[in-house]
Amino acid sequence: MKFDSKELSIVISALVIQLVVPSVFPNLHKILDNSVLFAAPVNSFRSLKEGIFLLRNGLNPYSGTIIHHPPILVSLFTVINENELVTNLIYALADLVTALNLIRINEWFMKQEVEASNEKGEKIQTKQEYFANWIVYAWYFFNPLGITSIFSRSTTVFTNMFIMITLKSLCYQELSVAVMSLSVATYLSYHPWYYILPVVCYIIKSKPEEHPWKIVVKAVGLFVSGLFGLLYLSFQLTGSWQFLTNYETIVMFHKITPNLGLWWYFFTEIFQFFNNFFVGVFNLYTFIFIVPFTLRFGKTKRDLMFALWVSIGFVNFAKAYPTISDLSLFHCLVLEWKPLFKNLRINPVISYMLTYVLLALLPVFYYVWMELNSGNSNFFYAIGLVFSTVEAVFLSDFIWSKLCEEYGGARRDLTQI
Amino acid sequence: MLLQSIWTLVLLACSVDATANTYPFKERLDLTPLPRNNLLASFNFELDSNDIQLYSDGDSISTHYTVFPRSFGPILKTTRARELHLRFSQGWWDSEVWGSLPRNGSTAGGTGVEIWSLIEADDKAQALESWVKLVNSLSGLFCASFNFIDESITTYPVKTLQPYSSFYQKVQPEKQLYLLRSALPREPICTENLTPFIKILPAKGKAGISSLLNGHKVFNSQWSSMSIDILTECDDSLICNYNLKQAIDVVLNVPKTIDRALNPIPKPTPGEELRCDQSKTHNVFQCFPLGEKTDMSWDLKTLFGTTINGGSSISSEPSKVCAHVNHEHWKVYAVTGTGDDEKFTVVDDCADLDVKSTTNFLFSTDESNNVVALNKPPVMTSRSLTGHSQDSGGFRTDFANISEDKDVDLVFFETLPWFVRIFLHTMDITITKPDKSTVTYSISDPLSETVLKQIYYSPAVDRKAPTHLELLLRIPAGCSVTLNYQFDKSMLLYAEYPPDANHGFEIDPAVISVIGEEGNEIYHFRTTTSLLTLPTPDFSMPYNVIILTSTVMSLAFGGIFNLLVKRVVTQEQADSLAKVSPLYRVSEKLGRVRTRIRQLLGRA
Repeated sequence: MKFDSKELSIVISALVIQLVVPSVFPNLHKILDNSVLFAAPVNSFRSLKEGIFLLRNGLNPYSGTIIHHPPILVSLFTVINENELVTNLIYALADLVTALNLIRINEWFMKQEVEASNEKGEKIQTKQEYFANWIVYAWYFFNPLGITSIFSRSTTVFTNMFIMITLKSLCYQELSVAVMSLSVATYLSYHPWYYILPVVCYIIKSKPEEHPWKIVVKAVGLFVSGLFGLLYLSFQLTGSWQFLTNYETIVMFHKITPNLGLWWYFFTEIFQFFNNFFVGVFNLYTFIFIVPFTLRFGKTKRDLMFALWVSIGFVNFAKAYPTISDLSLFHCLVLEWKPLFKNLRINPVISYMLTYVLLALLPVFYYVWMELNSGNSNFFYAIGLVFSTVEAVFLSDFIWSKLCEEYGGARRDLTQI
Repeated sequence: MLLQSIWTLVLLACSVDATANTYPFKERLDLTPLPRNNLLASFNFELDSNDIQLYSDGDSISTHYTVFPRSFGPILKTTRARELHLRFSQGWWDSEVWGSLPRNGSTAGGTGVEIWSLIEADDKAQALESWVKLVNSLSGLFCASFNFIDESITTYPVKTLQPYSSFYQKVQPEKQLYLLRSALPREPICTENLTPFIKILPAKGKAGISSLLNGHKVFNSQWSSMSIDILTECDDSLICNYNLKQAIDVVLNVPKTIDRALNPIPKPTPGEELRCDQSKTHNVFQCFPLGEKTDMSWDLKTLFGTTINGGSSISSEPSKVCAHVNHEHWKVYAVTGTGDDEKFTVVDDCADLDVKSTTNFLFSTDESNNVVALNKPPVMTSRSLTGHSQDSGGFRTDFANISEDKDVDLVFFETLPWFVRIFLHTMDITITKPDKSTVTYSISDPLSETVLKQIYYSPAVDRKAPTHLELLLRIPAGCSVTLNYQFDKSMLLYAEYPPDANHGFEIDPAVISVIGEEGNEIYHFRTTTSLLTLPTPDFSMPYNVIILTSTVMSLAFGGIFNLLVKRVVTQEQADSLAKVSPLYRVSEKLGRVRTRIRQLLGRA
């Protein structure tokens, strides 16, 4: 990995911030972790620490329904022994790995464009079509979404890292690494298995010489065996299958806590008779666009990358326990779609301003509800709903822009005819 | 003549029978004046059943219960409950003023209702089934909401409330024994709970000391506690019977109770009866009130509204009333009979009640605060909620060992409802030494083991099991220890909130059992209940929420779906594509048909 001076200074300053700030403010992660924007029951660091505590005292953390972290993660953190510095270092490293992979993806996109233009004999100025590495670094490291999710020590950081590794490995034809890291991400937080479909399609695209069914069997087989390997290891670690309730909690939405998403207030208020039905509907809704995205954007590798990206975005919008750390993964990849910016109906500056204003309002309304009691749950819900709407509009705007790009391509083809 | 003599004989036989036939039943009333003009009245009843068959079907052998309440036998038998303990309490025992609890707290409960039982069953599931059956039967019997007890509020105590019947010690049971416990802290204790208590006594409140028990008086008290303990007692030849102990303890504030008896409708005290501080300005307009009178005389009739209606005629020993007073300052008289036959007897310690006549007790004192030396409780405890947010909070529990040279071992038993998600790793222990220096240990710190000897923890399962926490603590002499821990509160489903959700949820009182040198429980007490507020949704919103959320979801779906099925092409491409689509052909055909019809119609 080569850095130029700008990149290096950004990476080093980011690392310094990530190590120094938590040491100077040791309570920062507790404050952020108490906020529902950063911590859901399934990814809060406090709950992970409780798991470590129980494990160390010889109790099965999964006999109750307090801990929803996968056993291997809990065991790994038990080894660290709650050393603050090591914990900070681990989160900083995870962040760095994510960033490095992101840069590699950025480079791949640039290369793709150059190749595409070479094929067509055109000279497209890559520098203008894509952002320079240092901008991507800066956007990733100094984005409040990313940096606060590192400070909150949300375990979604690790899921993000593995998904990023998957994307990068896909770009660089390290296909088994991609599938394996996707299975780790699935093990960590359930939802990433949705992405197996675009990933398999991508592999089929990148290996045109092999029979598609063979690839499907291989990739899915690798994914499933990786996942089962991890689950079996967890079983060996805890001595029972009780830890599977983690995934049950995510699917069945057992723990109702306010969050950024659409589920919590709906399931608080829905009549109990319909509860199970709507759990089914909402899960289906989360999955519903994976297949269409893959089919619609399945022509080239770049298109499949887009399919993966919008899938991540839609799952964030529709899943049960979304947090800011989930958003961070989606939004750090947005720079890779610079070519689409020009066709957006809403300027990204405006949509980001909206997003940040809403994200700032959410904790305010939460505070007004929980602490001051001068507002009720509707305030928080309303802002959350607006936030979700903005996310959905943002996503569909990019899809629109992608269609425009296709139109541009079509026009280009036509003119060539 | 002959007839008359036969009648005499029959009558004689009957009367002989009536006097000679006594049953295993004892009753005793202890009256202990407490400081600040309070009176502790402890009613004790104890009765035994006939011998029972522990392991028979029951139908083959008819069971005769004599004084043992008929309603209990079959319930205990079908549920195989070997011990049953019930507590109904309200108010707060002020141990700093009143000293240790009566009977070392073994019969005192926390606010609300508490029940625990030793049940013999094949496995845990069967034990739970019997338990639910048991509490449901008792629910009707005691007019209490026992029927709301289910697995989500039932715990299996490990170190505290341990069984102590001779059955437990001697008999090798056929099946496993399970100890189950539940509490309903929100249950108001009222007259309808007292009535069944009196009903199960042989005299049913008509005679003996139970004739004093009147709901209005018992529940207008500072503190009251009713308890029933049923044990299975077995001798060495393994012949068993049920032993039932019933206790009702009441602390009455004497001036208040008398005031209420004399003036049922409260009226302002007339000016000349006001007790003003003579050392300060006092005139028609100004009066600095003095404290309560300390030279008083009062009798049971004023306090309880009635005299004791004779002793119990069927008990194995005479009904007893005992007064525990400081004889230097107190005089106690038993007053038997009424009107001209009134007879005063000085009571030194205990008096047997006369079966035939009514008895009243008269107390007079020149210094009512001078009472018999009170036992200090071994440890003082208070528990409070910390935090100010509706979504999280914490518990802080203080233990103070007032003895200067003896460490106290105790078991701290706490159950929390499932929607309270406690984080045990946040627990820290602060020790305040006699010289006021403090030291704080986190629970993960090995040094905390000087205080925290052992932990039993079973985490909550959503809607299935409460958090069950038992801590074995050693409070060093003269020190006070503070436990602190944090928890999160989850939201409930719409229907799971009680009607007045913003009132909050009562948390069971924590049970503290002080462990003696031989490892047995020597003193019990409970903390107060805590009122926990949960985050509540807006209960008027279900339709709005369903509509708004669904709208956003379908907007997102519709928008994206609409884009996905679109293909962006040029106008020319669109036209040429449309020409080959079957839909276009059909519509074109339809158009042609339509023009034909129009033409036809136009022609017609």
